[in-house]
Amino acid sequence: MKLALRLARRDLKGGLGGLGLLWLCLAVATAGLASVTSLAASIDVAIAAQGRALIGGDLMLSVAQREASADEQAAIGALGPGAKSVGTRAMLVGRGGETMLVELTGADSAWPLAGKLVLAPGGRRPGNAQEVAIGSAAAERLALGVGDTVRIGSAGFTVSGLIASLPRDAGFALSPPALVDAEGLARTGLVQPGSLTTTNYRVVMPAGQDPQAAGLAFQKRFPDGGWRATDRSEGGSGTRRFVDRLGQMLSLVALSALAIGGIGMASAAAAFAASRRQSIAILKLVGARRATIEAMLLIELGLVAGLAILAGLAVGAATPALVASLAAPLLPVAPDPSPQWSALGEAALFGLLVTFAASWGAIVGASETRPAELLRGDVGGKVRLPLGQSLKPALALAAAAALAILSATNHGFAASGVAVIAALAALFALLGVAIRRVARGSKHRGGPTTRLGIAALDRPGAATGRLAVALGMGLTLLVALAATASSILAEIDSSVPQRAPALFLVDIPRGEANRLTAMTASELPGAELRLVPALRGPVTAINGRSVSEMRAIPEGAWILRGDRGLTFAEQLPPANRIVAGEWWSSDYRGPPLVSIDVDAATALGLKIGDRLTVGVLGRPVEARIASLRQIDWRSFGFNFAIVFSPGAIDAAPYTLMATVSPGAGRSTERFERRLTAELPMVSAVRVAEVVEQAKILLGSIDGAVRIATGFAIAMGMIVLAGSVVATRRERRRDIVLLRLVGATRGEVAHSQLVEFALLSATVAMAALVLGVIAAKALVTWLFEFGFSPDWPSLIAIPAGAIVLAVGAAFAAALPALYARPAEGLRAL
Amino acid sequence: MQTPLIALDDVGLTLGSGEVRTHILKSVSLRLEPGTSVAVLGPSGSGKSSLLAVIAGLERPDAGRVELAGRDLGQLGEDSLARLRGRSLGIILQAFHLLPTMTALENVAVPLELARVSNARERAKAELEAVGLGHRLAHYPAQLSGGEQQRVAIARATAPRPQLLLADEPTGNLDSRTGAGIVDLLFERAGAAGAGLLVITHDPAVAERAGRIVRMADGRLEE
Repeated sequence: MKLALRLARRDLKGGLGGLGLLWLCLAVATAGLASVTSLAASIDVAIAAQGRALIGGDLMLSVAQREASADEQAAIGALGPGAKSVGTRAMLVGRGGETMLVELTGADSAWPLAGKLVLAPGGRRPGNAQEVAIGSAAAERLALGVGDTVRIGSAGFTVSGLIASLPRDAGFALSPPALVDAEGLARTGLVQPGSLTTTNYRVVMPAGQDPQAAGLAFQKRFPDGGWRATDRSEGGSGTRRFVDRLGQMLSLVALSALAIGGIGMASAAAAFAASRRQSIAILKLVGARRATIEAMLLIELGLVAGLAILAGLAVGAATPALVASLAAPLLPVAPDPSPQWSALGEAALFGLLVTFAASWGAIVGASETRPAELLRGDVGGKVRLPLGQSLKPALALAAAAALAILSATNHGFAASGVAVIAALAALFALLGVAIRRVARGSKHRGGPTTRLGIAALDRPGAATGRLAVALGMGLTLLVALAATASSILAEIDSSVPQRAPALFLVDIPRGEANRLTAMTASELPGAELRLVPALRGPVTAINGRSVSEMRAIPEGAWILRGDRGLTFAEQLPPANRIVAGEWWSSDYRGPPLVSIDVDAATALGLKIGDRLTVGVLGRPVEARIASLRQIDWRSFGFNFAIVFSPGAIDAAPYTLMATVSPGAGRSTERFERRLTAELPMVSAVRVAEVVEQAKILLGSIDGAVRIATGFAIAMGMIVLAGSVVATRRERRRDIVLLRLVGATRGEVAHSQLVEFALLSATVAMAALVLGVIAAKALVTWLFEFGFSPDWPSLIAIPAGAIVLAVGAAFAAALPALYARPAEGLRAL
Repeated sequence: MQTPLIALDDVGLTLGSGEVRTHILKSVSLRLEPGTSVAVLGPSGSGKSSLLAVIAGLERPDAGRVELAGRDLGQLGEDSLARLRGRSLGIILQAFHLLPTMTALENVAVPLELARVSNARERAKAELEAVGLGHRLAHYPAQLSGGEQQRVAIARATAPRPQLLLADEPTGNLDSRTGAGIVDLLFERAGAAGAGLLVITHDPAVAERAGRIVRMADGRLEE
């Protein structure tokens, strides 16, 4: 080993011989992967560390439309010190009558138990029932400041402070917060039987107690109570899931960049091995053993790879802090800025596995160099590897794929992603073979410079296949992402104005239906008003088995998460189609029946005749599944996943919800003002504002994924640049000889550009087609939207790639183009 | 009085920079009349190949004047020099320097195609037949022997009907028997084309074949 180390040190003094490209590919790819995994891990850590502050306690027990019974209160009290708050949506009415939807919280004096209510300077928490603290966004929108008077429900309040942040009841909120005390909430008159409120009981538990277990135990003790338990590890319902999903998607994109980097590394390792062949032959001539040679090469490779991985990990380690400082407002929690060693270790392991897979063949091949080749002056012929040696790189790749799948939280998603990466690589490898075949058959066509360019695609050692994979994979991903995102945004932009109502109204008292109808007719003549009864409650059991006993909620079974909107109906709702079973007759008043969304039923394996139990105001309501419905969610109407038959839940105190569709372009401002004045308990959700928020969120997600995809594209360009450098000797020869026989610089440049123009154009077109097909499948099959991408920006992607590729070729040819031909001849 | 094919007047060439600046050619003057041949004899490192490079416009001298068929090369840009080489010069080099991705026929056709000759392939075929390679048209350089490759190079050089052929150690990479055949072919093809011929060589036997011998030593030319 000492000898191998000494030889390696001396050998490296003679130059890296291709290992420079390996360093670059591995450093960039590791940086991408380490950045993504570190960021995801740092958000996880932040959620865990800040979870208590985020939700305001160790455990939050929530129930819809009621408060805890005496028994339930006692059980909660036994867990530890607690605080109670009631949340609901409400309309905040400013000085001039302008309104804004807010998330209103009525909190007791103990709230928050953990975390902080952070107010802007000059403000204070509401000190009595006449005061309210409001979110900065609401203050800005309604031009309010401390001391101003506002109205919520039927009560007036004075603004005591502007809220910068506070422990939330939910991970993502679409409207700004407003905080009053418990008495203040009562003054608003918004909390009535059937109002869509959520009562939250927060608990701080003694050290050593497991809040998650305590939550589950509470749910099991009161299985019909409709309780939802959120512990500090979740950072608010949905946040962890969202972060997990996004993290997985970004990781897969980063892994594809690593796969592309592997192609570059394979080229680099081959170039390195070729550059050492003569030295190896000489070393063997003077007595070096094969094992010593192999060790020498591995040391050199290991040193460079190690430095590259370290550089990549350094970038990855710094990413959470960088993102925290640049993009904190876009994230649900600020990432923990400290290095995430486990994530970094994972990225390093991936880097090592891919490096091994990419370079082992070249190392072993070089080690097999025979000294006799020196005598023939033929050092550098191809060496065939024994099968056992060929299997090792394949095993390393398989190990990397297995690691990618097993380390993911959603194994199925990760396995699909790995399969897609492998399939893309295989497809583009085949395309590379096809390009070479076509080039072989076409290289006698056209003028001399064109023929030279075409022939270069199939010359011995040409990187055509590798470049096709390296460029094609990244481009396909980018096209697919861009087409999907633009289609979804286009669908939102085109469908929402046509189909969606202008307003959703909630918490309409049952007795005010006629008044609302008259108000609508008066203020918005001709507008469509649709009213439905509404309650909230969780699914508590399936076929008698309590949901709280389920270890994990199956993918797609979203109806089991949290409270669900419930309704009852005589007629089949619009935009719903029965796909199994039968709808009940309009005069049905028998045992409770329920109709559920077919996709949710499929995820849970439910069929006609099965039983579903829902907690309605603390009481279990079991119903038999009578039908399954296909819901057209794009109708933007009231689409309830769970609809009961008449008589099942009518006796519970319910309110009404309504959609108001005045027609495109009509203002609802006057109607809203009158609504808040005459029916202050009703909250109005402006659909346009919600859609805008959703578009911003979608845009942020799209941006994050495109940045990750940018790594894949950058890797493709690095591989391209590496290929240009690796073949510079051949290119220089072609340039010099052409100039010798009379070609102008323009003609010579043409010969250089033809190769890369043809290759990049073919690969880019294939990537465009594949990306569009993938996006269309995703958009039409998964989202059930129309496929309408932004074609100009889609086409700009392959066009840009062609320009970059041709530019790289031209840049590489420039020195030879402008050198004196004699210089070039001397160098040949 | 005929315009000389080659007219070099006090040509000087220096390569490198700083401390490694080397005077390759020192006040070189040379005349070659159309249709005649000259051999430049000299040891390795004497500047023979650099002399050929200057004459062919592949290198620009630092001093003096180079005229080719009456045209001052110093007044021409790179592209004009390339065109001049393609139409008026034929260059044969020691290492053959054929384009490896083109067949023998295509290699010979290249200068004709660059010069926009309409029947380039037919003429290329004729040239290859003239050098005895009519049966090797579709072969790639890697499939040809050294002698065959040099014959292709000669065909490429003569195909445009150049006024001047320049040959730098044309037999340097060949065995003596093959080399002798190549020299015969070179002089025969030059004669058939009516072209002037300048041969760079260190072999006196090759030099004897030319109409005139000049000697090169340490960057200077002696008649």
